[in-house]
Amino acid sequence: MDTMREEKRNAIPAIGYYPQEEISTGTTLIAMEYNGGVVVGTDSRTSAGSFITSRATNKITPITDNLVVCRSGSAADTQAIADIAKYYIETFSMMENENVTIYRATQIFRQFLYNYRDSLSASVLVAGYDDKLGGQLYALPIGGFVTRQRSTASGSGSTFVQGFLDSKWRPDLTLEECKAIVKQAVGLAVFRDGSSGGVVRVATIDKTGTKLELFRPDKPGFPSVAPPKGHLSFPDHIEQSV
Amino acid sequence: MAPVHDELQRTLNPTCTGASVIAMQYKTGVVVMTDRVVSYGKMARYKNVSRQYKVNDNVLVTFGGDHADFQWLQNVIERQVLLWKRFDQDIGPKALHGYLTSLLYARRCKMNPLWNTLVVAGVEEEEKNNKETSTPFIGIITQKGCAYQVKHVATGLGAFLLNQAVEDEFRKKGDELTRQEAEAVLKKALELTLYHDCVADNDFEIGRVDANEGVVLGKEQTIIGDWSIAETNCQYE
Repeated sequence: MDTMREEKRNAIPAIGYYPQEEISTGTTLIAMEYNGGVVVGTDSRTSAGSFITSRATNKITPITDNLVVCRSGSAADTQAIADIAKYYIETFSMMENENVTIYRATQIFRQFLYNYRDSLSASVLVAGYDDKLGGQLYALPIGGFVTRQRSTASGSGSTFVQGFLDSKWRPDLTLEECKAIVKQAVGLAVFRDGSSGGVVRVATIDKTGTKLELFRPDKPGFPSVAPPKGHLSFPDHIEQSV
Repeated sequence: MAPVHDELQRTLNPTCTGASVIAMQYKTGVVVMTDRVVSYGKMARYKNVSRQYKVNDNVLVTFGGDHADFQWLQNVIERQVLLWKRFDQDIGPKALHGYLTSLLYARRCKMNPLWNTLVVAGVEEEEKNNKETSTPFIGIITQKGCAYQVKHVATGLGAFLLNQAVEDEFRKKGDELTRQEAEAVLKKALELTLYHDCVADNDFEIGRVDANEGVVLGKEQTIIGDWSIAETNCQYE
């Protein structure tokens, strides 16, 4: 992957503006630590340019009972990395006869993302619970940097909700408050970002394991955004619908 | 040798764009559907924006592509309508379609295209004031000035997704479709674009031109679609 190249902007007349976004990854991933675990929320859209190739993807991939990874970037790259890292983590926990800590699992992910940084386009959020440090959330953006965060967003949709998340965060949030914030953030990002959409998947990882929930737009409970009423689209002497 | 400020003299890339247009003929007229969002690249930047322009009681123009170019074009069409009015004529859809074809082709030849795909929909009066002889008309003009008349059309990404689906429905009843049946086909087509087009939006409007009613602009509606597919196991292993 050639990352020294100028940003390519292809205009294809039949389809329209077709920006080749190599760095920004088409997805929305939101995650927050709370006392006792981590809440993660994602959209479900996989896109190739302007075309949606999968509208109900599951981007929350379980690695162990107490660890999930949220994938953004090239779908193929992240799937391959998740598979390999899962293999390593399973092997280690079998050989050592105890669960791998979330911190160590994150370092395994980092090894791949960093050592192959010029060939991969992958950005992940690693979220899990272990008895040593409780609920932990680690962000691994492209390039292989690791940072533990209390609340973070990743993917192209994240830019639309960074401010929202910043304004909502307080210390000592409860599980229900976190879930509400994460869900609303995904809803807001999906409203604006063309690369995010579909259903909203929310997962809670705590001591007892991972619980995955689904919020469909055609069922109640979906974090929809009510836009304000519009103004006139054409000059006011033109007949038009209001 | 290229002019010094090339970018100032022509449209190089569309910026604020509109997505698909789907139009279909029925027994006594034409229905046209567009969504109501302006996209800035892949971001849904401005909502509640209409892409259907009522020219007069017989003609409705809708577009996909750059909004700024269309705002300019809307003004040009308005001037043309007033020019015809001076000779006591109401411009018909075929005449407007011909005019716009020449306009877009001329711009393309100057290497400064109007970055729009236009759909001119209307009812063509064969004999003045005789509604019996009115025929529905849909004409499409691509960005390069290629123009043709159709009985149903989908533009943008809709062209790849929908033309077959719309044509299947159209072949079942053809010219005998009622307005409700045509609108049902359009709604099903919009559902498909919702599932597969990144820049499509839930809010849409269906405008129509009917031989008896003239141009009736649509009210804002929303479609959500069927997401039961998400309940199945969507893990990749």
